[in-house]
Amino acid sequence: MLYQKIIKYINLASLCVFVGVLLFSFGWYIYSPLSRPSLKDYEDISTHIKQNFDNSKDVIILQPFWAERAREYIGELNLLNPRYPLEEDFSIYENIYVFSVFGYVDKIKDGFSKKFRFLEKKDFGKLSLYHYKNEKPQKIIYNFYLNIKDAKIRVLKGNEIKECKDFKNDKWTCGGPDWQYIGKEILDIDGTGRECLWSHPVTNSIIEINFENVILGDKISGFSGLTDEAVRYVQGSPVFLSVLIDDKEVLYHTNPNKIGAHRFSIDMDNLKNTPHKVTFRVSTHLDGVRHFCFYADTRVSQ
Amino acid sequence: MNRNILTKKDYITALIIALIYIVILLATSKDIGFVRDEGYYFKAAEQYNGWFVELWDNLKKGRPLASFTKANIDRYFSYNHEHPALMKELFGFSWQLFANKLKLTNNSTGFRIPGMLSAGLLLFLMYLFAAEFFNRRVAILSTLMMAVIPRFWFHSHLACFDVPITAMWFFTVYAFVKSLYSFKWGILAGIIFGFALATKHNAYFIPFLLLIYIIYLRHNELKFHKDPDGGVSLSIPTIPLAFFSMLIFGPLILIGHWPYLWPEVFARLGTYFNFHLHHEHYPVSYFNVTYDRPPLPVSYPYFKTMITVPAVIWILGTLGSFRATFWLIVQWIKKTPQIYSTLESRALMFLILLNAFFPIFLISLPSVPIFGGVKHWFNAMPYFCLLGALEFETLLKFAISYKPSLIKFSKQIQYGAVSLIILTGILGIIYIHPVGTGFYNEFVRGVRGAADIEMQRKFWGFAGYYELDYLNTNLPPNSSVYFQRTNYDSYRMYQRDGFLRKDINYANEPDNATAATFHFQKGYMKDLYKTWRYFGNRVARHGTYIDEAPMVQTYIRSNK
Repeated sequence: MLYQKIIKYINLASLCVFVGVLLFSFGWYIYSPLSRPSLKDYEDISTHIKQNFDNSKDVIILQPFWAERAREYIGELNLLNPRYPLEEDFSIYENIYVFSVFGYVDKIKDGFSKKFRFLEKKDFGKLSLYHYKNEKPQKIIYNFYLNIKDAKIRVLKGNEIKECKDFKNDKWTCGGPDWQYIGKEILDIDGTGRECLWSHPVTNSIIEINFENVILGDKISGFSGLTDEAVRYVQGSPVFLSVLIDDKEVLYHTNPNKIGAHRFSIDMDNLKNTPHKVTFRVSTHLDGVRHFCFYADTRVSQ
Repeated sequence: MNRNILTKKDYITALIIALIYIVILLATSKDIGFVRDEGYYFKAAEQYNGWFVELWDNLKKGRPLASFTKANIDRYFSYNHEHPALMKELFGFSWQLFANKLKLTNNSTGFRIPGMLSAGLLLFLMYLFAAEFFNRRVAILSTLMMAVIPRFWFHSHLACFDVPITAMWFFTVYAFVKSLYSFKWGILAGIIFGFALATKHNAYFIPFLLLIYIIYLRHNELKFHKDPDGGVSLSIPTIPLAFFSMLIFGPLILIGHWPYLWPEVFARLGTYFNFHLHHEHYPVSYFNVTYDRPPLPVSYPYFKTMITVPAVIWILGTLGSFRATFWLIVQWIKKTPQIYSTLESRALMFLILLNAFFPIFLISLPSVPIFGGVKHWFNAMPYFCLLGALEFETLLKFAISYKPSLIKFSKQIQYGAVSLIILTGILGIIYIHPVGTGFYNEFVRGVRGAADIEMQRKFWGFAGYYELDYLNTNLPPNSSVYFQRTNYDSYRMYQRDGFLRKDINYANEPDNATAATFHFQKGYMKDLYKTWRYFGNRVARHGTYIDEAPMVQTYIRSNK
C-alpha cells in the first residue's frame, strides 16, 4: 500500500515537473523575441550618444559584455566591453555611458554610483543608456603603451647585453624566436581584450624597456598579467615585473600563473612634473608559454 | 517480451516521417554554411570519386588493374585518410549523380545528400524499433522528438559523419536485437556493423555494449557445474550468431570499402587507430573557462546535454531514464516482475539505458581527448528520446487514472500534449536556425544565457557564410578576406557554388586583408584582437546575431 502511494506521488511529481517545464518553455519562447531590441533602437541610442560624445574623454561601457551588435552602430566611438566592469579603471574618463541590452546594468549600477555621479537614464525601445559623470577625471600625461616606439629595449643575460634595434609594426624585435618582441597588442586577459605591451620574458634573462626623460605625473598606473591562454599552461612560472625610476626600483610585482589583470599604482608625488628615466623589467624562471603583457601611463589628478 | 509484428502501415508511417524530414533538410540546406570538416570532406569525396570514375574508364578499356596500383590508390585516397572512406565515397557518388550528371543540385548540396539520407534512415529505424518493441504512440513521439532537437537538425544537413554514425549505431543495435529471433538478422547484423565501422570509429564500442546486454539477458545460463570426477566446469551463455557475423563482416567491410588500406593493410590500419588514440584537442568553452587539453570537467557532457536538448524533451528523457533505472533495480532486488514482466523486456530496457548513457559517459572520462561538441554523443540521443516517449506514455496513463473524468478526452490530451512537446523543439529550431551549433535551451535562457556563462556557441567556421552577401556587395574588386575559422576548402566551395564573388581572395592572416570575418569562439578571441589592431578600428560592419549574442562579425580595414 505504502509502496503504491510512493509510486503515486512520484508520478504526480513527475507530471507536475513535466507540465511546469512545458509551460516554462512556451513562456520563454514568447518572452524571448518580445524582449529583444530592434535595429531602430540601436540607431536611436547611437544617434543620441554621438551628439555630445568626445572620444578623448568619454567612454561607452557595453552591458552585457557579449552584446557586440552595438559595434555596428556606435562607429569609431570609444567602446569597451569588459567582463567585470566594476574591477576596471575608468578614472580617466569624464563621461561614462553604460549601453545596456536586456537590462544587464543592474549588476553594476550600485558600484558605478559609488564611484561616479549618476546623471540620467534614457530608454530607447528595449535598450537603455545610463550616463555617469566623473567629477575629477585623471589626465594621462604620458602613455608608455602608445609611445613604445620611443623606448630603448635591452635583453640582459648575465653580463651580456643585447640591444633590440629593429622596430616595425609597433614592435621591437630582438632576434630569436618570433615571440621574442616588445610591442603593442590587444590580448585576452581575464576574459577582456586589453591593449598592452607584449613582453614575453626569456629564461635566465631580464627584458628591460627604458623610456628616457618622461615628465612624470602624480603616479604611474597600469596593469600586468598573463593571457588567459597562458595560464592554462599549469606548469607556467610566475612572471616578475619591476618598475625603476632613474634606476631605483619603485615596484616589484609577481604575476602568478593565474587569470587576472593585476593593477598597480605607484605614487610619484615627489618627482612630479620633472623628467626621469622610467624602466620596466620583465623576467621569469622558465619562459614556457609566458604570454605576458603590461600597460602603464603616468597621470595627474585634476 | 511482447514483440509487435510490424505491418505495412508501420513501414509506410516510418517512411513518411523519414521522407518529410529529408525533403525539409534538402529545402533548408542552402541556409547552412559549410563547416570546416565539410571543406575537407568535399575535397576528399571528389578525389575518391575520381578513382571510381577512372576505374570505370579502365574497365571499359579492359585494363582494370591499372586502378589498383599503390601509386594510383594513393593518388586518390591518401587525402584525409584518418577516417574510413564510406561516407566520403557516398558524398562523392551523390555529388556525381545529383550535381554533376543530373544537375539537380549545386555542388555542396550534392555532397550533403547522403548525410540527410542518414538522418532519414535513423528516424525510419527509430520508428520501427519503437513500434516493434513498444507501440506506435511511443514510436511516433520518440522519432519526432529526435527530429526536432535543434542541434541534431543542424547536423543532419551536413556532409559529415556524426549523423550517419548515429544512424548506423542505432541500426547495428536494432539488427542485433532482431538477430536473437532471426537467422537472417544474425547475418545482417554483422554486415550492418561492418558499414558502421566504415562510417566512423565510434562503432568499435558497439560490440562491448552488446556483450554486456547479452550477459544480462543470458546470465542464467552462466553456471558452474561440479563434475562427477570432482572438477568444476563453467557453462557460458549461448553466443549469438550476430557476434560471429560481426567478427567476419566487420573487418571485411572496413578493409573492403577502403582502397587506401589495400596496399599496406596492417600498417595503414595502425596509422588510422593511432590517429584516433592520440587525437588533437579542440578548444571548448565551459563556464568561462576554455579547455584545450584534458581533462574536461566530468559534468561537461551531462550538463551540456541538459542545456542543448529542448527542455521538455530533456526532462522527459531524464525522468524516463530514472524511472527505467529505478524499476530495473527494484526488480533486481525484489525479483518480482511487475513492470517489465520478462527477463527479455528487462534486458531490452537495460540495453536502451546502456546506449543512452554510455556515449555521454565515454566523453566524460578524464582521459578522453577533448572533442567538445554534442555531436560526439548524438548516438545516445535516439535512446534518450525513446526513454522520454516511454515516460510520456506513463505520465499520460497516470494522469487519466488520477482524474478518471479525463478518460473521454484521452485522445485529445494525448495528441495535444504530443503536439506541444514537438512544438517546443520546432520553436527551438526556428529560434536558432541556421546557426544550429549555438542552440541552448530554455533552462539557461537560450543563447543569451549561454553567452552570460560563456558556453561555446560557435565552432567549425560555418557562420562566415552568413556574411558573404555583405562581402559580395561591399568589397572593392580583388579584395582579400581573412575568413578566420572558415577553411580554404569551404571558401573554394562558396565560390564554386556562386555564393562568393570569384575575385575575392583568401587571406591566411588579417595583416594584409581588406576585410575579416570573426567567428565568436572564445578560444580564438586573439584573432579578433589581431584584426582590430591590423585594421585600425573596432567597427563591426555587419554581423549575425541570435538573441543579440554575436555568432560572426565582419570588419573592414580602415587604413588600406
